[in-house]
Formats: sequence, structure tokens, C-alpha cells
Amino acid sequence: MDFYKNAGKNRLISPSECGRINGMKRFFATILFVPILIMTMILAGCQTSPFVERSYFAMDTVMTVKYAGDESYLAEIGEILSDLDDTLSTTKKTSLISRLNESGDPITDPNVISIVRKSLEYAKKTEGAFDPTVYPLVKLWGFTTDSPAVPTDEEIAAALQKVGYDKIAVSDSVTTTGAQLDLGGIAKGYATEKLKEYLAEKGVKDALINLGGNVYAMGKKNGVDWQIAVKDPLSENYVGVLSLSDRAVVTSGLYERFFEKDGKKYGHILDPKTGKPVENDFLSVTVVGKNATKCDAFSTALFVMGKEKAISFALKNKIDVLFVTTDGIVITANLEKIFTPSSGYASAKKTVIVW
Amino acid sequence: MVKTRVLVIIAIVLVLLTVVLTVVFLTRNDDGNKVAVISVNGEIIEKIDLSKVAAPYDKEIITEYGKNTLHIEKNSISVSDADCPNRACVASGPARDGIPLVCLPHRLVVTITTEGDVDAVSE
Repeated sequence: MDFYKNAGKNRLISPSECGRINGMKRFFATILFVPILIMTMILAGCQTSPFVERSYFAMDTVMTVKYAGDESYLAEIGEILSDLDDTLSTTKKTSLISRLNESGDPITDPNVISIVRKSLEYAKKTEGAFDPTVYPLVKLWGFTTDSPAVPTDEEIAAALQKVGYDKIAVSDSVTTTGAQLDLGGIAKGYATEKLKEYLAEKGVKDALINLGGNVYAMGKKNGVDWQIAVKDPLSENYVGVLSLSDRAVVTSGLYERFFEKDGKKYGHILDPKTGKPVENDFLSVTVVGKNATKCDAFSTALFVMGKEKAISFALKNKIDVLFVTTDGIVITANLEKIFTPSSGYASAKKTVIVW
Repeated sequence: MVKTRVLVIIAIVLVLLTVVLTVVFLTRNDDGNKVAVISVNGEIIEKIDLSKVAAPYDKEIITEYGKNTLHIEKNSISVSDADCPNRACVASGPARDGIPLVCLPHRLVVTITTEGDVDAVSE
């Protein structure tokens, strides 16, 4: 009964009245709590961003790296990216890959050995839907130039003779038997993994690596998951936004990157088996996973496979995917949980894959 | 009377709330300003607060790589002219949240930053 005495001071109050007074106290406490909470939020919002950021130009695209850590790493990140570009580029005449392609010089560079090993692994796994030896086809169609052209069937057949991942060998060096390498379908993923390693070494926990639209979200942004949008292949908007941490998001899409010849549209993604641009019901393929190299290779491979094969491949290998097809969206259950469609796709037909 | 005291307290709290909320919205507006960050070869050369642009104007950016003309209006920035080979930067339209304006041959990037946006776009 001490409690009632204290609460009521000189008044005698009944237990029910006491409950009302306590209720009012709680009410005021709540009312006062709101401004305090808002104040705290303002103060938290005023903190300066812990992130440093820089854009780089390499691999014929723009790259942006943002991380919470010392500014001095920016220069070294630039070196890592330009070194890889100088080694792997097919457009730079002096790169190790160009020299291998032009004169068959074997390559002993550890980065090349490692990336070619990975390429062969993914080529086997996707039964050649991803193929690092498509360079003769890429060159023939002129996709790396400003003037792409439609080759004749004979020219395509001749180029296909030189295509095939069984024509490369890796031991303590990379050698080819007539094949030419184009690691463009995996180089950005590999570069992402290199940057991840570098940043982790430096003790960086939160970072956003965006290598020309190949995104890796490391850790968090101010304590919350990173918001990574997937570009709409049909407009300048997004398909939706994925909210995630420690995942790569890699998309292969046709977008507006095709050229027209005699009323026919040609996309820039080549099927290594037919030697021609892929024609199927895919508009874009997004792969989400821990390993950026794998996501990079698989996004291209799945695009080449087409919807039916790609769905069974994703199921069998437990890969998280988001497909935009001419007939709506296909998404894995894991991704659906963290995906917010934008208004344009909110009512699109949706197929959910569960593995 | 208890009741008048209660009313006074409620009044004080309401006044406090109003003040706090006003401050919140003012700060929010500042944070939500659309700022265009212009960089060449990775180096930031200028930041423009697009929400404070009174009248549209053009700005030329001339570097060792070439020339781009930026068209700046309230909450919008685009490339209106460029002497690069494919002029993709002109065709791409205004910069949008998460999708920067890029002129690859001229190493020019214009990003728009606003709070609470998408952090990156996978494409």
C-alpha cells in the first residue's frame, strides 16, 4: 500500500483512480518522447557521411567506388582497376590478352590465369552459354566499334571455327590453339572481387562498388541495407529496388543497345553456338549472389539460354535471379522478399521460383 | 484544478511539437535538395544545388578530352551539346537519381544526389 500513499500524497485514492493517473503519466511521457525521438533523428541525420567516393574510367565504362574508410585507398583502387584493364582489355593493343589473341603469346600473369580458370569453370557449368572465346564473333559483328555490321553466314561459320572454350588451356600459363579470348563477360565481376579483397584487407566494412552497372553492396549504408535498383530494359526507370547487404547484383540487358539493319534489330549479346545475337523473350537478366565473378558470368549465360533453360538452371544451381521477359517478371522467392517493384511493374505478371 | 494543469501541459507540448516539426521539415528540405555533382576523370569540379536554380542556363565544360554543354534548370541537368563522337550523353536526357549523365569519351560524369535514394543501379 506504500505505493498508493506516495502516488496520492495527501489524498486517499482508490486503486482504479491510481491506474488512471499512471495512464495519464504514460500519455505525457509518450507525448514528450516523440519530440525527443525526432530531435535524435535530426541529430543523427546531421552527421556527415562517413563515405568517400570516386569515379574511375576503365574497361570502357564508368566505375564508382564508395566506402567508409581512409581517403588514401582511392588512388590504389584506381591502380587496381587500371592494371586489370591494361591486362585484360581486347581494345588495347598492348594488353596481355591482345598479344595472346594476335600472336599467341602465352600468358603467365597470375590474374589472367585465375580469371581464365574461372571462365572455364563457368563455361563448363553453363555448357558453353558463357564462353570466353567469343572474341572472333565480337570482332566480326563490330560490337566494340561504332559501326557494327551484319556479317554473312559464311563469315559467321568461319568465325565459329575459332570459338570454343575447349581451345584454351590453363596450367602455369594460359595458351590457346587458335582461339581468341574476350573476358568482357567476366572482367568486371573479377575486378569487383579484387576490390572486395583489397577493401577487406584495409578493414573497410561498408562499401558500394559499381563497375559500370555491375554492383556489389558490401556491409551497410549507415546501418541499413543498400538500395540497389534494377534498370528497366524498356524505359529510363527501374524495374524495382532490391534491399541487400554483402551481395553482388549483375544485370545483362538489351536496353537500347542494339543496332538496326534493313528493319531488323540486332542486340549486343551473342550466342556462342549460333554466332548471332541472342533472340529470345528475355529483356534483362539479373543475378544476385555473394560472388561477383560468378554473377557476371551467369547473367550473360542465362540470357543466352533463354527463359525455360535459365529457370531450370537457376533452380538446379540455387541461383537468385530476376528476369524481365516480354511476358512479365520471373523472380526467385529469396529475392521477392527484398524486392520492391516500381509503379510500372507493380501490376506486371509475376512468376516466383522457389528453390 | 488538475484539469487546467493538464490543458496547460498539453498546450506546451503542442507548441513544442510544432517548433520541433517545423525544424524537422526545414532541415529535411535542406537534406532533400537535388545537388548535381560534376566530375571529370573522377575529380569533382563543381557542385550545383539544382533546387536553387532560378532561371535555366547553359554551362560549358571544356577539358583536354573535349567540350560538353550542360543545360541547367530547376531540379534538372542535361547535356545539350557535345563534340564527342557518338553524342550518347546528349541523347540520354537529364540526369536522374541513381542514373548519372555520362560522357565516356570526355570522362565527364554528372551525378544527382538526394537523401534516401537508390544507391546504385544494376544494368
